[in-house]
Amino acid sequence: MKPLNILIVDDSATMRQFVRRAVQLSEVPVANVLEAANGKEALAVIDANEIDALFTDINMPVMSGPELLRELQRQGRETPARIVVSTDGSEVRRQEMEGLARWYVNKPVRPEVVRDVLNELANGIAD
Amino acid sequence: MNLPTALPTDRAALDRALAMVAEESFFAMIDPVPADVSAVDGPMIGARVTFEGAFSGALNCRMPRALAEELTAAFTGEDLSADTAAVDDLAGEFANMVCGRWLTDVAPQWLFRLDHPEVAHVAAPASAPSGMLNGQPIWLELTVEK
Repeated sequence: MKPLNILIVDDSATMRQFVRRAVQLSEVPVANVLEAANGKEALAVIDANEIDALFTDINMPVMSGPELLRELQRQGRETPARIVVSTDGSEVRRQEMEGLARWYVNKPVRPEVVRDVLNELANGIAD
Repeated sequence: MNLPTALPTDRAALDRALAMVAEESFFAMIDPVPADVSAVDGPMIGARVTFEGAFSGALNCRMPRALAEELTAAFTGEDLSADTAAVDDLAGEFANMVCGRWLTDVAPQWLFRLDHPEVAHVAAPASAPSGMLNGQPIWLELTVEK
């Protein structure tokens, strides 16, 4: 299984730390965990690194999660795989993210959810 | 899609959101406020989250700093009580999560934009707390407008 490069995008440093810890607890092979505080910073990280999985919040200053995902879509990027992490559990938000993200999970993301998502992703990459 | 006919200000939905966030994310329970609740001894911290969508408004969440430190430890698994930025950030995220849960509950068919929380040192409100979290008072104040 190829170790994954993961990017966590959230304007809360505490939340980034929480997701980072969940990634570490997942026991999925990880090469690097990078962080960004908004979508604009994330685009710069994605341009400079080969990112396999992107965890992104929705509401962020400068560039929101949906704006980031739409920009990646506009650029025609197939990677990274996108996981939206949000406090907004509404169906309308989930529908908005369909086609933009592969997974949609509620905040704060549970370690077992991160493990399942990363396992599915890592197995898909290995196939 | 029709706009909400009434502004959702019912207290029960806000209390539900608070209880869910406390239990699911911080492994803490909300208890009723006792009649003889004592005044806060120590600094207070306040987080304000504004939102816009089908309606707009703000949620203010105030708590003793000691409680914010406990919540930070519960959330991160580390004692970060000396890390002012981490405790402030967590207080803001707590308010953000309560606001997000509340909006999902009262207006699930609408999208809202939540602004980055503003966190400040505040005084304890003169009003009764909204509940007791880990034995410490917590105040939630909601303002909603069209």
